Amino acid sequence: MLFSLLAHVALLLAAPTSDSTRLCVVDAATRAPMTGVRMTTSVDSARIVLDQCVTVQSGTVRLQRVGYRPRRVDIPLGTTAIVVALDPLARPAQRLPMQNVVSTRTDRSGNAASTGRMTATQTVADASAIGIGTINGLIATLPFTGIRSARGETGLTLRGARREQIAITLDGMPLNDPATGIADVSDVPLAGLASATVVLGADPLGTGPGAAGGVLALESAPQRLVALRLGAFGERSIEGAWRVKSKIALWNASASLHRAENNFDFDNTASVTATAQRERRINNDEARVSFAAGMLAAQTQLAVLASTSERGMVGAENVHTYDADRARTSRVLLRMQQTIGNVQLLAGVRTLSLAYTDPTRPTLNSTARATAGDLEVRGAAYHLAWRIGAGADGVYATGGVRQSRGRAFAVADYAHHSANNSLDVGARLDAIGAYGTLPSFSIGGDHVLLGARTSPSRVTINGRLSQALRVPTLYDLYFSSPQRLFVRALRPEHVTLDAEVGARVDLPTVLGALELQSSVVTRDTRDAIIWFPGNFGWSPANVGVERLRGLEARAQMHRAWGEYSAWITAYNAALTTGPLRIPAPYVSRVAGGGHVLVMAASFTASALVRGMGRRPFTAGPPDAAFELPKVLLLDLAISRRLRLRGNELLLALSLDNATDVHWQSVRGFPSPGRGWAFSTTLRQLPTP
Amino acid sequence: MIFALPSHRQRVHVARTITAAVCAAFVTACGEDSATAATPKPPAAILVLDGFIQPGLTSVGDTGTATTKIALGATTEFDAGGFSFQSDTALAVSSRAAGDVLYIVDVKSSVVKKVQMPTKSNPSRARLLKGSGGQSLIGVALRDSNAVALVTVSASGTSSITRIANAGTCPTDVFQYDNATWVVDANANCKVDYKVQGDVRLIRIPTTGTTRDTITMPTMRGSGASAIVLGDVAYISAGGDASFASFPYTLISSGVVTKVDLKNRRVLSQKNMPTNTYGAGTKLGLDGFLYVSLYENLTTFKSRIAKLRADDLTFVGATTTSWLTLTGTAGADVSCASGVADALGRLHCIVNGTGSVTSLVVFNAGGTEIRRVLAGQGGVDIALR
Repeated sequence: MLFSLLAHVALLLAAPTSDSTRLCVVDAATRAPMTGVRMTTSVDSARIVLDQCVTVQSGTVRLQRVGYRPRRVDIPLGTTAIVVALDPLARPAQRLPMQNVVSTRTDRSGNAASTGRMTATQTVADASAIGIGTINGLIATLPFTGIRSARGETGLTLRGARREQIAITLDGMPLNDPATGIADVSDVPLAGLASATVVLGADPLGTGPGAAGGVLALESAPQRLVALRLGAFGERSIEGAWRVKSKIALWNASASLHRAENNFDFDNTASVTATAQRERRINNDEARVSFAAGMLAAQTQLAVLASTSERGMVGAENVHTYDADRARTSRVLLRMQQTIGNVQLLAGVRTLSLAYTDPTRPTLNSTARATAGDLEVRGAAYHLAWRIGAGADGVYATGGVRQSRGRAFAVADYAHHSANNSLDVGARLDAIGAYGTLPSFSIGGDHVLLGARTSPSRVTINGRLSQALRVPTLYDLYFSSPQRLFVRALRPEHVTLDAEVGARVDLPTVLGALELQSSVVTRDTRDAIIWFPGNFGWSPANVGVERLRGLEARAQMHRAWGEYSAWITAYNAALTTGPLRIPAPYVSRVAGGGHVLVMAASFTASALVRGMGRRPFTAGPPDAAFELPKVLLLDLAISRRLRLRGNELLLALSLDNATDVHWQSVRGFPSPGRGWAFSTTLRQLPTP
Repeated sequence: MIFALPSHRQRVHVARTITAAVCAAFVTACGEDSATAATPKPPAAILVLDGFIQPGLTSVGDTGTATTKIALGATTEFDAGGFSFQSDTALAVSSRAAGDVLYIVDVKSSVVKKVQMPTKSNPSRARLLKGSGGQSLIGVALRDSNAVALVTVSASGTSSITRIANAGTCPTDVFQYDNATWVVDANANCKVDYKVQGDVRLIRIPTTGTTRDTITMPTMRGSGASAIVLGDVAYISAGGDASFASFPYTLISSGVVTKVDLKNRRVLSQKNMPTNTYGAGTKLGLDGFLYVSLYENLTTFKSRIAKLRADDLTFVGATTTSWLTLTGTAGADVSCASGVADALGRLHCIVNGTGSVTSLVVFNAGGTEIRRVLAGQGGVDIALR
């Protein structure tokens, strides 16, 4: 991960020509390399910079990109390489020195404020090399993540938070539907992605309501590739991505077709006999089509994301009454950005529709639809960034369910960065429906205790205090089980305090570049919105106080021949209501993972291990009879990269769950045993 | 009686079976638990069925706060809304949404035995019947199979199943009387959406011979009909008819309790539940009265308990509301779900609070709370031991 980032940035400055300057453009706040920058030189007409870096002659160049302040740069004669940082319009400025700088850290957290918190990134390129061909697989390689899946959908948990407490963004655009809290990352074509980053902890400033436990920030990458994948359980998929530049803009599109039968053998542990019965899963198939496209110009950016998927709604392992039930989910997202003077205007609309069909009981078929529209203006002055916005969302479903509301917010964010210190302080005010104004804040900071920020050997400490909100219109669980819906008024779920302190050590050793990170975390949530069954409303309720105390740690070693890493989390997460203390369902007290990656010549071999301790599967008091057993999973892969005339061909063979562990991520819903996949990816390499 | 919503997936079923589940009611304390015992005694224990979250049987003593629990399984395997209890044996069933399983619990030894019912048969209720040859016999009404399963359990624990076919449109309860098996037919489309098709019926199926008798319960509707047998009389109850297809819900008819003369196979009398109420989960108290659990309306779903005389089905202790006025120690109204009285006339009932925390609440004969003790989580039904 970081290894590839380092290599990538180093490549940016490599290979200068004798009578020219290699100019690279990065984001001043995140240090992420930028594409789609329009450059005007004193001798050429305007053109688009495709690949972060371009060779120019000495003189004056003007750089311009939507969402950033335009910048004029004078390149003296004899300069061989230069990195230019563009200031985001809506982020506090943090200007890099105008010199040959190789950043050692790239922030890929999108809008999420990363100062003072743990983050971890996995690039799609690295994931492909270890046989990852799905976005679910990509996320599973990230440290600190937990994924639950009953029927193909992805439920991501971070830092002991429920899946609806995790925000998912694509290039900073929230993918969670504000009406339901749902975002299914499977909707995004992997071919169009560059990386996925987990940002742990509440993020009221960058992401807003819904990011109580953390953010999964996806970053797109205009590129040209085609990928095919075949695997066990009838998995087959094809993905492609394309980009093209014109005089005025960079255009990109990606699409994915995915099918899987998922009719695997499993042990029915719910059998009435003393021993588990070997059975075969049926009606567990999924078919998905997704599409993404974008246009990036100097002052305008457009993006569209659309997907539709159908899956069998197989029941629990011992239940056959749903063997014919089907569900179709469709999502469309449109987003536009426009730079007007020194402000950035954003507008977006999202719609989500569900259709549940029961061929054996057609009268019970149901549909539901949620729509949302948003408008936002961003700007920044000196160290202070601001955002104001408004929107509305609504839900309509079979059974007369109708609900809608308006929303508005304002954010002020102050940031200060010096050589060894970073500070990010901000406040947010939300007004949602009839709930009145809901304030929240965040303050985070980093301090380089030993060494310097740009030196390979350093010790950094960090800390953060935040609050967060979650105000779903309709609780997502009801939407994901699209039967008869019942709306109940809920108070906002309020993270009254989300705090962490941590340290990071970067140290070159004889064994390689060592990176150590650890954090102590705490989170208190008031009026937690929990679904407790048993009432006629079948609706969740604001229940008690959720408390999480935990420790997270990660170690990673980079060497020329590869890398190895390990991570561990230890959480004590529980809900207290009246006399009951209820451990958070599906949160292991201890979980961990690690990977070993070895590269030799054009080959890469990898082993990925994930482990989860015992974890409760009910919202009840501690009881071993209602816990899933601990599980240890091993994935193996080998791949080979070949160069073909400016293209790279990647061949990967992977073995998932290599030890054929029979396990369940959701109680009653067996996960597949050992499986294999073969994938081939042809990618056009960036033009030198 | 509280509605059981065991799991995320099973809400699918629950959403469809709302009528059936609400009306789930079980006979308690049959046989030797005589309602006319000469010397009234307090119960040895109170059993509460935790129907969702962590299904199990929680046992509470007549005094003190100690509880013991027998776990029954995950919510994907257990979704019963009630249970029957007789001779220290508790019987409960999981519907088609939880795998069609009969649970037999020996409360004395805490041993749980599970018997697989036919797939997608959608069991409704189970009841101990009179076996032969030292074997136990259990009758299970199979809603989606139009049948009744007779489960024989030998002393060694092995079980076998025979079926009585064509036992009504939607059989929901079964009992034995006078050398015949009697089936309560809810007469609803239980296979699809539990939509009521007509009046509830009682079907007599003789052990020998082929002539069957059908007794119709006039104006009595409800997909969760059940029976209580006391001597030559059966009390059939059904919770009423309502449409839950869209919100707000629509009440079509309230519940009814019907008294049937089994010997002469005729309806003796009927009692309509109060206007606007829904549900009629009926239990026979050890004090000889009938206790009916119902919802005050389909808006607030406030749980209420009505008390009826077994002889003439008139409401007892009610002033203006027909249901019992139950008050806490500070005089506040208490909304009490499934309940039944002991031989001393004390009403034991369950209340689910925040987080579905269940309390056992005991009221004196005047309806004033005299005891409140925690009794598990997700309580749906109660029986006295």
